[in-house]
Amino acid sequence: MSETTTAAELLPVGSDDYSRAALFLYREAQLLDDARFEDWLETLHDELVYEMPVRQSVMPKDGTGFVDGMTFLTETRNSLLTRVRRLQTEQAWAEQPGSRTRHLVANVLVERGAAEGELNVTSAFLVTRTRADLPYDFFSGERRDVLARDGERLLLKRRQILFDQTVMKSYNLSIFL
Amino acid sequence: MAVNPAGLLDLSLADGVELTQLIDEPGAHISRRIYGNDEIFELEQDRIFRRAWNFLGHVSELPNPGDYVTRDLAGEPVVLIRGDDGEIRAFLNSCRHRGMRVCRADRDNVSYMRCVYHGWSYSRSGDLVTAFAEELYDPGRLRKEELGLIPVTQVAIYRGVIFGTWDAEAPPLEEYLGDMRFYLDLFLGRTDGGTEVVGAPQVWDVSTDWKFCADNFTGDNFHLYTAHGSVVDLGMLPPDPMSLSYGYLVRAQGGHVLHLVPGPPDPSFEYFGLPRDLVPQFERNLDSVQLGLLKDHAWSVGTVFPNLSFMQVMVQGDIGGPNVTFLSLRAWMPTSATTTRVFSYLLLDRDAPEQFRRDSYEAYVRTFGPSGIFEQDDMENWEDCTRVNKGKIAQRHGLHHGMGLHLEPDPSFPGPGQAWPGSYGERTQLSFYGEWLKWMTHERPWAS
Amino acid sequence: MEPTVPFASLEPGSCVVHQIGAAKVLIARIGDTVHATSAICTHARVELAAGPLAPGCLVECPMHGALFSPVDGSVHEGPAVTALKTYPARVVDGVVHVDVGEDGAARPATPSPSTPGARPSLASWGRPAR
Ligand code: FES
Ligand code: FES
Ligand SMILES: [Fe+2]
Repeated sequence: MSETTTAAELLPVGSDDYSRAALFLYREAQLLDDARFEDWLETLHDELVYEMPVRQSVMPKDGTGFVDGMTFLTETRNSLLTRVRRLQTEQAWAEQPGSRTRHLVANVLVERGAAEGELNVTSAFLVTRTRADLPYDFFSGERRDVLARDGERLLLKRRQILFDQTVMKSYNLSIFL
Repeated sequence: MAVNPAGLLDLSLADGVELTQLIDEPGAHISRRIYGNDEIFELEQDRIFRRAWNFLGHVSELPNPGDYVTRDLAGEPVVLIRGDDGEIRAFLNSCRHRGMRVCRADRDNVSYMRCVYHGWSYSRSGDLVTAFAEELYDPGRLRKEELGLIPVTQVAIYRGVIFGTWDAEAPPLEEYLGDMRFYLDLFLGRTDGGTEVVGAPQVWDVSTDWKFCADNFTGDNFHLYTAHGSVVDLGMLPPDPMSLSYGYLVRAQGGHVLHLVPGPPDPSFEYFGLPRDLVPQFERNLDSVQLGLLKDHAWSVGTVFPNLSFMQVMVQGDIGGPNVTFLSLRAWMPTSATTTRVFSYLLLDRDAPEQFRRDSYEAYVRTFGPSGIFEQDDMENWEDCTRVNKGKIAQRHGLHHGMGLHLEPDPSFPGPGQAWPGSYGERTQLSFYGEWLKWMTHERPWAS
Repeated sequence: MEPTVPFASLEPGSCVVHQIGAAKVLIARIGDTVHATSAICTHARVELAAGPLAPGCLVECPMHGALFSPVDGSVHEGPAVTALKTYPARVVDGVVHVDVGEDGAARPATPSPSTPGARPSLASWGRPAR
């Protein structure tokens, strides 16, 4: 979805494709919160591009501060698979014991994507994470996703995570956003 | 700082314990009291960070006149700005009128540094150009020439890396780095164009005493097979836990230390796995000893005392992915006794080929930084070490740093400083803590 | 016309500030022509600074960043609203000459805000934001 998307191009709430996209996001949130990472991997497209750019605090004239060329995450399906396999090694200490997360997804907007069967979906997220007896970490921002139709299901083909923080206040990003 | 005739600073802590009791370098014991302790933190700010040469940034962050970036130097805000003359200067980021922070973004390009409180404005070289309603001051009262931004006492650049110190008596940067320059050149001075920052630093906060980060990056190579066991399990590190035990632990000078670790006997691990197109440049820019060390090693991690670490390491970013090297600089900025702000940079040789740039970047982001499959687990250790070592019972017992102490420095090692054979050992950690104690207790710590 | 600075001392695309009697004059060189205006920003009356001109051949006030044209004194960007006064200027025998007219004479002190009885002018209050 771009700045030029008009309200008229947004799919109505409750329309078939809107519902499918929203359902995808809610279902994904559940899989992540339930640590069903294998099932989550099944929802990722083979050509997935998944990025979370670094952000800086800049004056409004300089835009949003997202840095060209540096990210906190620059992932493909295979690198996310690596992360999931890592969690399964039982030596991924940052997740042993594990995080307890809550992925809250809202403000879902859907438009038709560039290619046949693709949907551009933006949403706001708030992820809470707590581990052991530690206080909550909050991760908030916007997701810009491209969902691609694969038979009857949708797959995540592109995700840009536009994070709200410039200095990440959490000591690690051992969870999925 | 009170000084006694022997050039020692006041040694006693509030409860009567003496600083010298905290570090036993020959006995390889370190007191847990040095971590997470507010009194120690204040002393460190005073005796280490306000006196040492600290990392401030990289010249490639400021390509044009008027570019600034804001940083911290010993816990106080500073601004680095490139002037119309091309010089990079650094100032306390505080207006001379009421002290307001003058430059308020992480980066910007400005024609003047303008204070948003009452409008005093400073040139790109820090001079006060105009104050508000100057005609309302008695003639001679507003001496603008004396009211420029307060410069960082000394600023110097080594191979593109900008350092600053608040101490007028600190020796020149080149002298402070001393023999560490020889090793830094392997990473920062090997190509014609030098290095440049990719994008901007990743910045994040960790609830750790900064010393655990520096300690780990003195070249702690033997934590790999435990702390990073997950990566070994994935087959992304060789399975034998002693595979990375070869090479050297090097104390270049004072607390400036590193390790140099050879790869398996395969040409792809030569020159740290750097692009072969660059080898002619290495040959031009390095002397034969440096060139030999570059050729023979694949991993190096080190620290410039007190808190600037570097790593040039070959890693796989994902299963089945290429084994690619990356060069990172990281500054561990203490923000309190128990919190550290990390600035982590990816550097690339300006002349590196396009495909390598992409691969190196992906390998770096996937393995280090807050999401890195290595670094996540490092921070897990540093945070809990910081928490647990604050305990009064815990503090009755020191920490053991005795690995590899029976080994003598290898006289045949060709580089400067002392080099102990094998990269598993605690010589470099002890060197770091020995230097820490020197700075915490000596009036002139840089004098040997 | 008063002689000021040698033309050759002025880099193209830069300006200097020169005092003629009581007047502070900003002399700018654009290409091969010279222009003169008052060097006092019409916003908070701070002195404009010598140096390279801002992009677009404009003079940027150091304090709040108002942009003026050195050619006709006009305001290109706020917060100033009033144009800089312009003065005739030309090069005679390699020296920039400027005519500041009356402004060079020592003026009766203008009432300052701290002059007893001085009141703010309401003239420009409520103007539309630029
Ligand atoms: S504090 Fe900067 S102008 Fe007053
Ligand atoms: S004083 Fe010139 S813009 Fe305000
Ligand atoms: Fe590590």
